Amino acid sequence: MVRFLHSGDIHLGMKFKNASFGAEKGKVRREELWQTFGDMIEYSVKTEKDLILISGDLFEYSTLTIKDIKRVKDTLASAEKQHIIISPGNHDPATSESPYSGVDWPDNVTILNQNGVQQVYIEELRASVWGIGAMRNENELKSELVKIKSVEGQKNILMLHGEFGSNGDYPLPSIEKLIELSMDYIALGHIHKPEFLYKNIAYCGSLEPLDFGETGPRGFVEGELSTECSCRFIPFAKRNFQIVELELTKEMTVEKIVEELILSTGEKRNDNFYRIVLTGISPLFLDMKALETRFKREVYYLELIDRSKPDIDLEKLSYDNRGNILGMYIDSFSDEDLDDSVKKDAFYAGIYALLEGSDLI
Amino acid sequence: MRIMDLHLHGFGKYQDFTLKLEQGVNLVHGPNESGKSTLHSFINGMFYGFIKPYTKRTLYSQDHQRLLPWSGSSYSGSIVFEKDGQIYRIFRDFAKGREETRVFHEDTGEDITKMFQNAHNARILQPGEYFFGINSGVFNNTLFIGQQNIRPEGSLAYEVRERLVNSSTGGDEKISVERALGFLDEQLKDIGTTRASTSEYGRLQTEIFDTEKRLALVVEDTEKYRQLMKSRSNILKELNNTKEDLMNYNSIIHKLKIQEKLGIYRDILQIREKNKKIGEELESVLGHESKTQDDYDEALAINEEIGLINSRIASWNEQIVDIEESIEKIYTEETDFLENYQEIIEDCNRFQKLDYLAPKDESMEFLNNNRIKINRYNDFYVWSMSILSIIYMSLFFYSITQGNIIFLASTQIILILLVYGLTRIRTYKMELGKIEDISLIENEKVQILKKYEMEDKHQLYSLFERAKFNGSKAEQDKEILMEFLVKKDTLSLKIRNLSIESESFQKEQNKLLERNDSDSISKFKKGLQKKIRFYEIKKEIAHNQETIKRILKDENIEELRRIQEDYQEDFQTFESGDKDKIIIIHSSLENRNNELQLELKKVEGSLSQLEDSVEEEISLNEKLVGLKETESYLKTKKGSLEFARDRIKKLSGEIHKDYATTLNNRVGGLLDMITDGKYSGVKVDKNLNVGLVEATSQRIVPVENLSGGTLDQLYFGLRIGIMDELLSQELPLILDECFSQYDDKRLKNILEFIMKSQDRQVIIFTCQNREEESLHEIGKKYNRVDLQQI
Repeated sequence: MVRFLHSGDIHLGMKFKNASFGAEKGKVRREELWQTFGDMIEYSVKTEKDLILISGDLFEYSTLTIKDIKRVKDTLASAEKQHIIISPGNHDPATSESPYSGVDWPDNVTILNQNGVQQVYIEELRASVWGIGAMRNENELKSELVKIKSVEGQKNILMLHGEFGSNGDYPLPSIEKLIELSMDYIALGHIHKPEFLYKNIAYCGSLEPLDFGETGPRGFVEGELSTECSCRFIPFAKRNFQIVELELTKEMTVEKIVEELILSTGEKRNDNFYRIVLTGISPLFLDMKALETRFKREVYYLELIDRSKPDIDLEKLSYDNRGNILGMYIDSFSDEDLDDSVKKDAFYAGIYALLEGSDLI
Repeated sequence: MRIMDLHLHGFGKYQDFTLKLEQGVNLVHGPNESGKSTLHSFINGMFYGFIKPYTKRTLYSQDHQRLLPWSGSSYSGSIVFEKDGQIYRIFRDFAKGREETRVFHEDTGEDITKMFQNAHNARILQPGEYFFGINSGVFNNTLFIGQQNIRPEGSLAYEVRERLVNSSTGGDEKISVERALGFLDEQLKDIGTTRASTSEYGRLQTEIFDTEKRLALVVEDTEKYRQLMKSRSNILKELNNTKEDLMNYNSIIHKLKIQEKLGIYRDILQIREKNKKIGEELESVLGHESKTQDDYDEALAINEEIGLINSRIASWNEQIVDIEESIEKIYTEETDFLENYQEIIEDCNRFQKLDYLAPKDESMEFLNNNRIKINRYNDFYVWSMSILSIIYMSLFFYSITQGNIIFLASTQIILILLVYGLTRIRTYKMELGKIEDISLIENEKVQILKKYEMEDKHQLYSLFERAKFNGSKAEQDKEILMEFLVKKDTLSLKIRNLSIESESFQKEQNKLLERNDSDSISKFKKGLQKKIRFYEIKKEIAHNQETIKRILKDENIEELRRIQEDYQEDFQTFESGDKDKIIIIHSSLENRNNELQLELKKVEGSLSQLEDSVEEEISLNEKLVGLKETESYLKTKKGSLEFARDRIKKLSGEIHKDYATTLNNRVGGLLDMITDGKYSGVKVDKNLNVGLVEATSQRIVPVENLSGGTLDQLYFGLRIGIMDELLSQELPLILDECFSQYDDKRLKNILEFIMKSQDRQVIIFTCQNREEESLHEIGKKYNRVDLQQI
């Protein structure tokens, strides 16, 4: 029986330039990726895995430093008894300049190269691991896949990096074609959302989620290969990203809204990143700053998006002020799309300005 | 419409208070703090409530809090009023949570609240809207005219202007375009601009700029880092290759070393062989160590001496033998012996001597002849001389006596002749003597010849020789014999002596030989040679051992032997030339390796220094993203505010486009009436500067330039007029402490103006008596209500 752990898309060292959470949290997050990676290796050692498969994008090679490479090396070296096979992804290709080539990797680590399909035979496990690095050319990939023949009496594992459908940058052939290869397990990388495409074909997803585009649980896939493949997804990430919608009503106070938040977010909210979208009708002159501050005390990170509409009876206001500037102003927005936040904010800014000091609202 | 009763169950300072009002003018008089404003607000509250009308959530206006009853639990009241011939009552409870509004027909008591459920689903009932058709804002602005100094803007002119501006739109005084724009501009200013460096936006821009600047610097470092990574990669590649090459050469050198060692071992073995062989020889030369060269030399010398002695003795013995042989010979030799040899010898010797004296062998005749000759000469000279001498003597005496020197001198010549002559005589005498001698000699010679019957001297000499020979021989023989005998004796003696010496030498020699354990000199010599050889061998052995040690150096023989065993394989041998080449290549490889290692260290050192920069770049990038997002957020916010502002401006502009005409249309007539035809129109420029058009001159008088009284009239008139027009009915006018600032004349003026409409109910709240006085003066009837100081 071969016990394996499949992970990938870890993106150690990456720049969170498209994420919204800023430099401070970015720095901490980067460090957390390292932490979880280390914890994952520790887990593999503790649960006596035979094989660790990393299906690409272990590093972010554009931001990598020598210190980082050494750190990875030391972490992997601690899993002395595990066979670690790393297949390069599109963010960490194994070119001659890549971080993979400048280091003395410990004996338990094998790094596949970019030159098409490779087969790594592990004698004591009686297993062959086939791997192809991320390829842009679909036809090239196809011609490499043809070279793979599953071997009798052995466990056969394939590692690929790409996505299905020919519209992507790194297209993979169809799932059917992969099933035809009769592998015991196919470890896929590149898509950050964990998913089982077949009983033994899986994307492990990113180990830790990287931004608000990656909501939902994250971790790795572990499994055992005997006569069959038995594998499952293990959530392992320390933090999650969640997008929560809170519907406001006009009577809600700041405290009540916070209560709602607590109800919607669950116990782990102190560890997670939240993007809270406020919908519905917000009480007039709701102290957003106070709300934000209170929210921030409850969660690890907060982005607050206000899509709610203030509690103003626009019809009545418009009617009451028909013929004066306020009424005209309200009417002038009847053609504008008030879901567009710029227009919405302008609209209400004008109303508040016109009613400023009047005590009418 | 006419307000009839006000019942305040609990409202502000009032509890269960009722105020009854009449048609026409009502003067509600009360000192300060008597609650006039409260009553005023009560009326507002009854018709419109204190809840903000535009929010779904119940928001209370400020008045609600302000008018909370001081005591009691009731916060409610009712108002009874007449409209269009009907009398209505509105009951309202203001208490939070208990809010209630009921409308009744006062006559019938019928609850007609339902009729006022607002079609707009307003949360609270605002009966005022129904009854008056205007919202509370407008209501407040038209019905109620409060104290001027409540308004923040202050100046009446402003009021009038605002009124004029708003009048065309229905006059909601509380909505002010200018104020709205100002409010929006404030907010925009708070956000700020790039140029306003202390504003939020400005500071953000500065931070972005600084971050970008810093990033540009750091990016240089990170680029360097990437390049150094490449270099490092290359160096590692080359190091790898060099390492491989080194490994190859190392193994070659290792083989070379082995080979050297094997060579050494071989050499050592050879030397050992040598030593072994010599060692064997050593056996044969043992035992002679005690022999000394000195002794040998001495013994040899002695031996030589002995030898010499012996040889001398031998030779002497030989000589003796010779001597004896010679002696024998002498005795046996034949000789041609002359017995009278001695005599002969004597005679011959004499002859020889004589011959010597007269070697010429002249005959007697010759001699005689000569003798005669010489006698003759001699006689001549004797005679001449004698004569000459007499001559001379005479001359001599003569000259002396004469004293003639010259003569004397010339006589000396004779002397000279004399001398010469004497000399000759002497000579002749000698010669005569000689001849005599010679004759004698010759004579003797002839005698001798005759004696031995020789014919001439030559024969004599032969004889002489023979005789000599014999004689000498005999002598010789005698001598020889004597010699021989002496010699023989001497020799014997010498031999004897030498023998003794020889014996003692021999003894000495024997001693030496014994001391050196040799039977003989030759044995001794051999022994010494062996000894020398012994030491030679020993030396050689030692030397060989040294050599072994030397070539062994630091090696261990055991190890070498083991190596020999292990490396039985025949591996490639190298020419010595190759060896040097190999060593050179190897050392250059090692150098390159070291160079590369140093370079690598340097590169890695630089890399680690730059690591922080890489981290910083990432952080800065992220920070920049955050800042730019905030920037964009602020920009958007500004955009919204600007959008609103522009929209309001645009609308305001649109309003004002035909403002003039509208205003004139609406207000023109009013103005005419209010100012008694003095002003006929209104002009408003784009800055909302308002001016009145003088009827007669058509001159435009800015509102600010109007007199106080005119402004008053305008103010009130506009309000009333517009209100009347809007509502097309007459609402009561409630004036709350409006006139405290007015002088009497002005007061009278405005009161008159207001009273023009007879039917309108006017309620004047005041703490003064001047209004009353004025009313009196005008002659207007009024209803006075006194409020106690509660």
